[in-house]
Amino acid sequence: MAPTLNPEAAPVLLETRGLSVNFNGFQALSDISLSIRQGELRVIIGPNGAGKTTFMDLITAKARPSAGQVLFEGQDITGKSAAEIARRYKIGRKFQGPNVFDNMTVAENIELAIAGYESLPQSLFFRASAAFRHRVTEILEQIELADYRDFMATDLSHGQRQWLEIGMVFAQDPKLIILDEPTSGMTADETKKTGEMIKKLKGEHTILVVEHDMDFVRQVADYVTVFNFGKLLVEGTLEAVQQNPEVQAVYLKEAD
Amino acid sequence: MPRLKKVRQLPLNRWIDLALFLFLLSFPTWQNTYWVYIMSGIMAYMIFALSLDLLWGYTGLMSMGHSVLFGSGGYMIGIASAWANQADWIKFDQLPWFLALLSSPLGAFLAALLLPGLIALFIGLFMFSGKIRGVFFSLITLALAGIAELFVINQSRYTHGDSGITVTSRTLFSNADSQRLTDQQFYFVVLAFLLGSYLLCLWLVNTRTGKVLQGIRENESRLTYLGYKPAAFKLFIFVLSGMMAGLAGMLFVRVQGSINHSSIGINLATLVLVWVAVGGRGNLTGALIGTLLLQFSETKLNSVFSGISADFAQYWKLVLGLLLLLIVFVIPRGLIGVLLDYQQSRQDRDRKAAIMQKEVNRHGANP
Ligand SMILES: Nc1ncnc2c1ncn2[C@@H]1O[C@H](COP(=O)(O)OP(=O)(O)O)[C@@H](O)[C@H]1O
Ligand SMILES: [Mg+2]
Repeated sequence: MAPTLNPEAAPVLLETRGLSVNFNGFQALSDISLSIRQGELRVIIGPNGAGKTTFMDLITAKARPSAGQVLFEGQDITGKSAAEIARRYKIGRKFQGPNVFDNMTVAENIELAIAGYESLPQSLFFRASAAFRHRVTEILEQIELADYRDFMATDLSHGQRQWLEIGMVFAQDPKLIILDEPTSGMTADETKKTGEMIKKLKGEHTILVVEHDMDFVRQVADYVTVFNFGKLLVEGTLEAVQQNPEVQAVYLKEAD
Repeated sequence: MPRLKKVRQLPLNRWIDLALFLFLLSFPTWQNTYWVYIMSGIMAYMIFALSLDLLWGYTGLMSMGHSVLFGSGGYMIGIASAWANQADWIKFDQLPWFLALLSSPLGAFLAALLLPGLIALFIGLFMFSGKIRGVFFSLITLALAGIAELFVINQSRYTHGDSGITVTSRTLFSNADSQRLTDQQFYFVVLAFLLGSYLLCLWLVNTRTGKVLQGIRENESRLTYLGYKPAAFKLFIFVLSGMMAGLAGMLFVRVQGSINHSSIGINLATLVLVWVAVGGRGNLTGALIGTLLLQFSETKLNSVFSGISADFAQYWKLVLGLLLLLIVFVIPRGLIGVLLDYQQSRQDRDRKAAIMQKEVNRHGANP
């Protein structure tokens, strides 16, 4: 499985430098430096509590780092607000466990996520164009929810709600897509479909995924970063990482 | 016929709205002046309930002191009318600078919209930039209603304290008795404002802004990760809702011909919560129907029972309290909410059947 883009040639999109965070004396992340190139699909793996979600929190301004920087397209975005990171820098994130608008329809969830109309006057005088409606349908098809557009999000199955949130991130049309455990709670069939959804975006989009399911990781990953106890343990191709004895000791045995 | 299909898929409650407005339109033709007067007051309250529904039902901001905005609008009209007619309790011979707008009836009309808007703006700026949410928003607004009531009782120089103010009734832009409309005429003035307020709400909740407001209700933090700044939207809806409450207060005072502290205090703040909760939040119809049902019943039962027991008002409060408990525990989405849930579940069933049929067809084609 060869990467569609030569990762060495593409420019760096996201870079973290010495990123650390301390929650009331607990060092959740220490000194994480990594970079992701444009068009890359990077998977972060690591045992529970390794700090994977926290790492994403720091990129999307859900939490503030105690040290270090986040650079996006070469600009320092450390300390920017969450809304600014989503709107101006175009980083979209799917949270761990579905995080959607429950008592709104599937289509409304996607419509709200479509970028470009976030200010009050823009939203007040917004009228859905044919192109806009087409885009909504396109995304609903992408996430296999075209037949469910008028259902309330709360009435979907767990896996469908995960898809809905993935669709919301697609709708943002972000430069960087961040997905935190997109397949958790999914059936094997749903997990496989999710893998295909994500693989279709490969090359065009830059994607950062945290995942537990090793079949899924095998399905989509080229390049893998392993976290353990808040530290970056090792990075490399999936094959190389799997050969690493340290990784085998802390993670792969436990997960498989 | 795609248009026909669209009409069939219209939420059931829009038909109720239509029926309600037709009912209100015909009401004066078959009712006496007393009931026309009563219904005018109820319609002013309906505007008030709509304003709370925008804030609570759609945006999830449960104001427990919405009467502050209703009452401050009403008091602007009250003070202006008392000043214009030189009520005997007025001891000042010039309006102070902060009430200067009240020297003309048109100014009073504007003040009744602007003051509630300004109050909402300041409360909102303080609360929404300080990230005050949920139950804290409710408790602070509740406290404000208590404070506002004490304030108007204490500021008797301008409010005539405990006794309240007598107001020139059934006018909009005048404080002269000679300009008063008939009960029937003023009924239609209030109805026009109610219809306008309803249409404004209906338009707003269907705009993208309306969806953002519902997003705030459902999952405010998620919105920020989609690039929205919820504080601006909350401030907008609070100010709009405040101005609409002020309009309702102004109209109510012009129907009733008086205002006192009960229109700005906790009593009315609680009543409007009950109307909206019983009717059902977040669909506009519930606010209208809840207000109509409860206020109509109160007046009707009052006229029946006041001959039997002088304590009717006390019993009515008890009934309202029990009704609220019943609604909260049995049908938390309110009367109209139940109806809409029923429609939704039927539509879901049909959609699920269609999806199943599609699956069957697909597997039938290539087994
Ligand atoms: N806001 C927070 N306050 C305190 N501790 C936190 C906070 N967020 C995460 N943690 C802790 O940081 C560690 C890493 O958590 P997390 O990033 O969720 O791990 P992962 O996603 O890899 O399973 C955990 O021990 C967790 O309890
Ligand atoms: Mg996690």
